[in-house]
This record gives sequence, C-alpha cells and structure tokens, in this order.
Amino acid sequence: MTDILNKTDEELSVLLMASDYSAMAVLIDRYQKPLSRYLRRIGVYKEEDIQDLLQDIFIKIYKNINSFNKDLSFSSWIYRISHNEAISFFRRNKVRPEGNMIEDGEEMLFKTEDESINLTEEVDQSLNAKILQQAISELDQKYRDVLVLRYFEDRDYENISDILQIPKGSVATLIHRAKSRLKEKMQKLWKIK
Amino acid sequence: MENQINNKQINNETGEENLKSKILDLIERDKIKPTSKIYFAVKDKALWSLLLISMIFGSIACSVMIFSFTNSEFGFYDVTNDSFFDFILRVTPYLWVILFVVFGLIGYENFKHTSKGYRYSFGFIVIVGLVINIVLGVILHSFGVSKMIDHDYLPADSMFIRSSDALRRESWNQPDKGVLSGQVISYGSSTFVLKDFNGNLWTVSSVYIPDISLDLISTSSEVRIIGVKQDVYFPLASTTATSSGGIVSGAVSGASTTPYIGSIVACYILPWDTEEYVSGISKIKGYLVNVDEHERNISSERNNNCRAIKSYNIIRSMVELK
Repeated sequence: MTDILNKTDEELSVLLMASDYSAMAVLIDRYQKPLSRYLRRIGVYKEEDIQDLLQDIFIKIYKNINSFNKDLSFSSWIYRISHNEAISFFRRNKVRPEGNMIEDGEEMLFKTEDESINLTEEVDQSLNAKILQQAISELDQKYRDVLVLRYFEDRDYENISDILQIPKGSVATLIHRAKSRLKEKMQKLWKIK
Repeated sequence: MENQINNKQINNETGEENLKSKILDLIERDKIKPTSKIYFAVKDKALWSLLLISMIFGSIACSVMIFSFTNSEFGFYDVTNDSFFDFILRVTPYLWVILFVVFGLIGYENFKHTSKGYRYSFGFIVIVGLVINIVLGVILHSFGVSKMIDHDYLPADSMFIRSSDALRRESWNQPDKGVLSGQVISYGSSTFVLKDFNGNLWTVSSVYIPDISLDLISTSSEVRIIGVKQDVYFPLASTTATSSGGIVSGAVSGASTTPYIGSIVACYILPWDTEEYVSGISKIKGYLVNVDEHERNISSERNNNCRAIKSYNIIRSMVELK
C-alpha cells in the first residue's frame, strides 16, 4: 500500500488504465483538496455543489482515463476536466460564479505586488483582500479563470493553455487584459469604500 | 479554541473519506468501467479522417475556383461587363466559394478538437489551412482535375452553379452591348449568318474586317464578335464599306419578313475556342484575328461604327497576329 502511495500521477494513471482500483483511491486522496479549493476559487460557492462536482469529476476521470494523453501532465488533465465540469455546472444552473477567496486574496496580494495590482501600502491587507475578491468576482469568467490558475494555482502558461485548451499566446493576452481589468475594478471599488 | 479547530479538521477528514468511499462505491455498484482505448482511438482517427476529407474537398473547391478565375477571360472584362465589379460578380463561382468556406470551417473545427489542436491560434490554423488548400488546389488544377469537374460534372444552366463554358456563353451573348457568339451558318464575301448559342439567327457584316480569315469564318466554325448592333439586316454578300465608315447596303428591314433576329457590324472576330489562359490577361495565341494593321496603329482612322467600342485598345493589346 505504501508503495502505491509513492507512485507519481502518471504511474497511477497507468495502473488505472489497467483497471487497478486502488489507484483511484490514491488519486482521490491526492486531488480532493486541491480540486475543491480550485472549484471554490473559480466560483462554485456552495459546499454541496462542490461535493457533487467532485464526485462527477472523479467518475469522469475514471471513465475517460484511456483518453489521457501522455503529452500532458496528469494534473493539467484533471484540472481541465474540473474546469469543464464547473463551466457546465454554471451553464446548467445559470448561475454567476461567486466564490469566497478572502484568504486567497491576501495571499495573492503578495504574489502580485510586483505586478502593480496591489493598492496603497498603508491599506489594511484584509480590506484589500476583500476588494480583490469582489473585483475578481465581477470579472468575466475567462479573465477569472486565467487569474485563478496563474496566481492562485501557480500554473505556468503552458499548464494554463492545456487546462483551458487555448493557445499559449492567448493565455498571455488574457492574463494581461485580466490584470488591467482587475486593476480598474479594484481602483473603482477602493474609491467607493 | 484548539478543540474547535481539531473538530473542524476531523469533520473535513471525515467528509473527504465519505466522498472517497461514495465514489468508489458508486463505481462498484454501477459497475462503471473506463471507456475502452479503442473508442478513443476510433474517435481520434475519425476526427483526422474528417479533417483529411474536408481538406480534399476544400482543395477541389479551390482548384475549381482557380479554374473559374483563370478561364474568366479577365482581358475581356471591359467588353462583356459594365465594370470590373460586374465582372467579379459574374465570374465568382459562389457555390465553390461557399463549399470552400464550409469545408474550411469543418476542417477548422475538427483540427481544434484533435488532442493538440487547441495549442494553435485561429490565425495560424486559418493561414496554414489556406496555404495547404491553395497548394493542393493548384496541384489538382495543374493535373486537370478542375477542368474535368467544370466540363464534365457541372450543369450548363443552373440557378446556383454553372460551368465556365456556360458562363462564357452568357457573357458573350449580349448583342445590345455589341457582343455576340455562335456558329457560322453561311457566309459571303463580307457578310455571314451567325446562329447564336440560343438558336437565334443574326446577320453579321464583316466589311470592316478585311482579309477575313477563311479558317475563322467558315461554315460550322464557332466565333465571337465584338461590334455594334444595327437596325438593318445585311443580305449575304451585299454590304460594302464607304470611305467614311458608314454602310451602304441593300438592307432589308422588318423582322417579320426575315428569319433573323438582328444584325451586327463586326469590329473584331475572335475564335470561340482559344487556348486556355495561363493568366487572366494573357494573349489569345495562335489564332489569326483580322485586325487591320493600319487601323491598329492609327486609331483615329477607325471607322465610325467601331470607333465607339471602348475596349479597342485592350483588344488591340491582347490580340496577337500570326
């Protein structure tokens, strides 16, 4: 059992392709937390929705394991499925993504300090985080997706391209635009506050 | 406080365990199996096959478009059309353009859905797709595929699609513009009878075209004429030219008494079949076209009837005497 726990994602995927049931349990253990956090970040708010989505995601991973392309990282493939499921969920339920990212927002403020998203230095961090959260929730889904993947999930451009299934050049453009939009929204919100 | 944190942690862990066992139970209960590799392989091959098919049809459409444009007789656009815009509207092979776009879209969508298709931008895919289609289209065209499709498979007259030959016949059947084509039925020294491609009979005066080529004007030969429509009819071998460029003839007027639908003074007579154009403005090669050498050089001496023909210079520059 310890042996299987030490296997890489790609090795687990090979086991899963060979219908090794235990690999699925390890993958669930490994990805349950990061995926639920990711779903929350891209706007799935209710805990029961997250649980339902996670169930669908893991079943889909199991069913489609033979379509996994080894040119991708397994993690990117799982995130792609999760992203697609979340988008279907938004469409199905006709809901606008919300999400609660206050802790994340604080973390992100540090990450983006050198990229001019941060507001004035003397402002209380948690207030900034609240503004950031609101600003992100007001962004279009496509901008929100790239920002979450880049700054919250620490994904590089290639990973983001594989997850969102868009060209790498488009990722760069979207991130650039998303940052400008986010900055505008934060400044506007800051004035109101 | 510490207890609360511990409880939350325990709850989370229990929730995670619950989800895991729920998923595993569901897989076991519903006997869910991974979809077979063959299914995904077939799906992938189907996508590539559809892409290949759309590329082939796109290339065929492209080759027929190339054929249509290169055989559109661009050099005559001024003769057979009111403007360049009219010419483009007339010769554009709409159905092939639509098919080209449709197959292009099918190809694009298929490529996008291949395993790595998303990595390429829209512009890149479109440019590469266009280049491949055009190159394949040129190759097919050079092997005569487009000509075969145009000649053998396209209807002569249809609302949506016509062969280039049908289009050419339509372009060269505008007597009011002084443009007419058809088969020579009989001929005299300076007049001949032409049966146009719609079956109507015309009398044509070739009085302003000296040294008329018997090769060109002989019974059953197909010709096209650029000239001026007249209200008089020319009895065979009875017209003569005057020094001022007018016509003196024993003209018979009144359509009811003649089998002819009208008459034309020919300023140029060209063979109906020309060697295929390499480019839209290449010359008509290898045919004797009777243009007075003297007139070719001094346009002011052109006769009154032919003087008004706007495309004189264009035709003059296109025609190559043997």
